[in-house]
Amino acid sequence: MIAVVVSSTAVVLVTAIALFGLGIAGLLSRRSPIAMLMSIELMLNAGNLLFVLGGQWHGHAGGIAAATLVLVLGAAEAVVGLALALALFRSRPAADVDTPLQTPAPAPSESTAEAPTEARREPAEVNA
Amino acid sequence: MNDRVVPLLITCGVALLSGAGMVMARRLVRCACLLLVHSLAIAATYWCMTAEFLAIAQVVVYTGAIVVLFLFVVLLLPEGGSEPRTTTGRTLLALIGAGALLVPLAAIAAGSTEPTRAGATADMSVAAVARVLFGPLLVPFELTALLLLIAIVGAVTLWRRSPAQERR
Repeated sequence: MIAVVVSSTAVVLVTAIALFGLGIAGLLSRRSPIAMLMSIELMLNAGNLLFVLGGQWHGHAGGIAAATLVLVLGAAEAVVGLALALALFRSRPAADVDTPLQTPAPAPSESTAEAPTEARREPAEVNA
Repeated sequence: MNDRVVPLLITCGVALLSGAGMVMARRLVRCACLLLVHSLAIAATYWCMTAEFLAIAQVVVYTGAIVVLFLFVVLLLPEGGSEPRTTTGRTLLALIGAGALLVPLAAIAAGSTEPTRAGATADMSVAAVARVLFGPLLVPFELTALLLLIAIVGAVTLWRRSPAQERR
């Protein structure tokens, strides 16, 4: 009875769109970098579902092949993202991407002293 | 594909529910476990869509490697990676952002019509996928090997302590 009302392509299409929205909401609302990475995985899955659906719409195996490539891409993204998150956790105790990083004092103070003088020098050169 | 609506509804429902639970769960361990359920449900969805090869690849690569990697990292974190409570304003902002993206997407989906199935009888077997993957998509496919290598080197470089940090 349900099969008459709902087509299977519509089910997958709605699921993919809803999953992408869920991923966006998670990415924007979560503060832990690892939870944000998981939200990105959600969005990758939504894109993959659409790839497979599109391939079947057109009767072409290219959709599945493209989804396979995205799968590998997701693996690489997870590896680099998790390494970044772990490096972040080493420098600060709390799991919050919003708190600014406390940089060691001597090295940045030199660079900040350098930057304004260069900025002041530039307009003079333009005038000359 | 129309005879598979009921299993598709079940697997898509599980995928959506576990995804929503993952976004809303407070503890990161629960998030990782729900991501496990989610990726298995997505694999089942692929199976129902007659993409058996992708379903198995999803279980091996996603469930077996990526989600377990997430679980390991969560276990490595101090205090299980507890995160500060999300404010309501932030949640509202996230919902607005997601809604702003969802509305045009839903409009496009509602306006799309299913194309005439000229090649609907074309096979989706592993052989057909391989013919595409090693035919027109050969260069991107080979480039993924390079990508994975770069990812490994990048992860090792990021994780290694610099000599200045070692001294402290």
